[in-house]
Amino acid sequence: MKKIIAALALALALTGCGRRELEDRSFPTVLVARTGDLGAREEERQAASSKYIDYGQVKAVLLGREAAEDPASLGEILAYLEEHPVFAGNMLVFVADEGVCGLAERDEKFGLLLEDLAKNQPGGPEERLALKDLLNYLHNGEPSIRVPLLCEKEGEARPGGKIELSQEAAEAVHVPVPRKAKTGQ
Amino acid sequence: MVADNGKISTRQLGRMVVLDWIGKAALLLPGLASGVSGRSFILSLVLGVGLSLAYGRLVGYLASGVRGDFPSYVEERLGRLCARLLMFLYFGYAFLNTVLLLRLFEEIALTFILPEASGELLMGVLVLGAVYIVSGGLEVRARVSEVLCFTALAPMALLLLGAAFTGGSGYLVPGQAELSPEMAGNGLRVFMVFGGMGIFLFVAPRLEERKEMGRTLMRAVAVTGLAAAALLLAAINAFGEAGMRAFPWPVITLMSSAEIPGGFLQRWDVIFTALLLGTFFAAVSAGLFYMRRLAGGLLGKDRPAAGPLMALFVYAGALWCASYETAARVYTVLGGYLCVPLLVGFTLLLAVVECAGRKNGKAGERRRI
Repeated sequence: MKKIIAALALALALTGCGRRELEDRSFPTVLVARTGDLGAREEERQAASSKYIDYGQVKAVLLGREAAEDPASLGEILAYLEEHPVFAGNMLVFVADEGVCGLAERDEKFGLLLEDLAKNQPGGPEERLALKDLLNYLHNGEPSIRVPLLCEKEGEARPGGKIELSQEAAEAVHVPVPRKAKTGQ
Repeated sequence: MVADNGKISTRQLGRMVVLDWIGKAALLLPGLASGVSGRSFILSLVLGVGLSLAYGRLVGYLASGVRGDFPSYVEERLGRLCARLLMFLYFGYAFLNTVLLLRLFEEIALTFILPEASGELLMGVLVLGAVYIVSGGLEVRARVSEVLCFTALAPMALLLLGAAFTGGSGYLVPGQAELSPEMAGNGLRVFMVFGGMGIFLFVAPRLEERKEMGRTLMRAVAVTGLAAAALLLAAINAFGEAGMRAFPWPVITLMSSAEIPGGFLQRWDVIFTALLLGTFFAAVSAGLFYMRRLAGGLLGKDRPAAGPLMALFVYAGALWCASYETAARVYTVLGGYLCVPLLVGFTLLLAVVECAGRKNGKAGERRRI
């Protein structure tokens, strides 16, 4: 009886890997967010792709400059990332110009380059910004945050200093916040 | 080790109890902090754990007086009707708790690990694994818990340390907590997580040292409570209070934000979640174990009800709930607000009767001397 139960359990467990094979998936390592409506854009991207886009390997997100500086767009992008646990909290965040966004969209392994870039900068961990920090800036109503900037030079992405994003600081610290993240300010 | 006399040690019981509680506590307790400040919730946690420690002591006191099996003990002290009512309440509590665990397992596994899998399949695997564990009896459950406790909890503790020290953003600063009725209410909700511990009285006769049961339960409450507090503090440190309230599962999000050295593994949240979900097999098997015994007793049989039958019943209950939110609501209302207070009331009553019985016994001995 135990062996039958064990066999049944194993049979069920071995089918738990999902119906989609690895060869039917693509694994982008970077996410480019030029507009606030990231969900719609990703749906269009999936519809145009012959493979299933699996975001489990994304190392970095590039925010277009316009989207980053617009609180409403930034809030929408962060809400999308927060609602999808496939995007890890320790994922790197950069603001990028149009040239770098274009480079990233053409190269699926671009995120690995950005990861090395962030890891090996002389400033160390202080020079990196993780998604978690940007979400903390939003939820805790911090007045400003400095995000690493990337600029395109001679066909490559180069660090371009930092850009400061700001919002109105929260008036109260212990205000209960609903579970769904508020977008924008 | 498995003893030849069919008994289990207090160490094995302690580990079984921790595994029963740790998954639920780690995932559900931080969610109770959504309406209050983190500091106030820490106070609620202290209140809830304090109540649970006192209740553990009370259950231990009763355990030392149980001769034979617990249902017979209750029948002797409170009568047949009360004994059957108590068994029914415990059966109901075990059922609701196990259904909640099934739905919680499905929710977490689908959200963080296998988003494309079938929820029903995941619950089915959990139930089948639990049936397999419970088919070996109490000794096998004890041995599984002994092994699983270390292999699951030790890495989780290391991951927590890593997340706490590398993922911190410095939001944990001294401050003031508000004492309020809401804080007390949350304390009672914390107690709800531990409030069914009277069910362990059903295994008291199988314990090698029954007198140590109270201490064992208190230790398990302390370990689970401390683990929940550590997770909560680490989450507040990483996200701030407002940030933590924004996440439905802050403990897992904490792991996803950690940057622990060892760059080949970046999704620590998946590893932590997999370890945590592993403890659910032990917790669900515990639920089935008690349901079997209680169902057998309620139906007037000498042996426990069939494990697969109880598993089917629990699975059907989980399917009926249709979602985790419904299962949580049903557990909170029927299990937390109805069953737990009644069970605590019964336990208190039994303790009073036991105390009176012991005093009468001592007085009788003195008269004879």
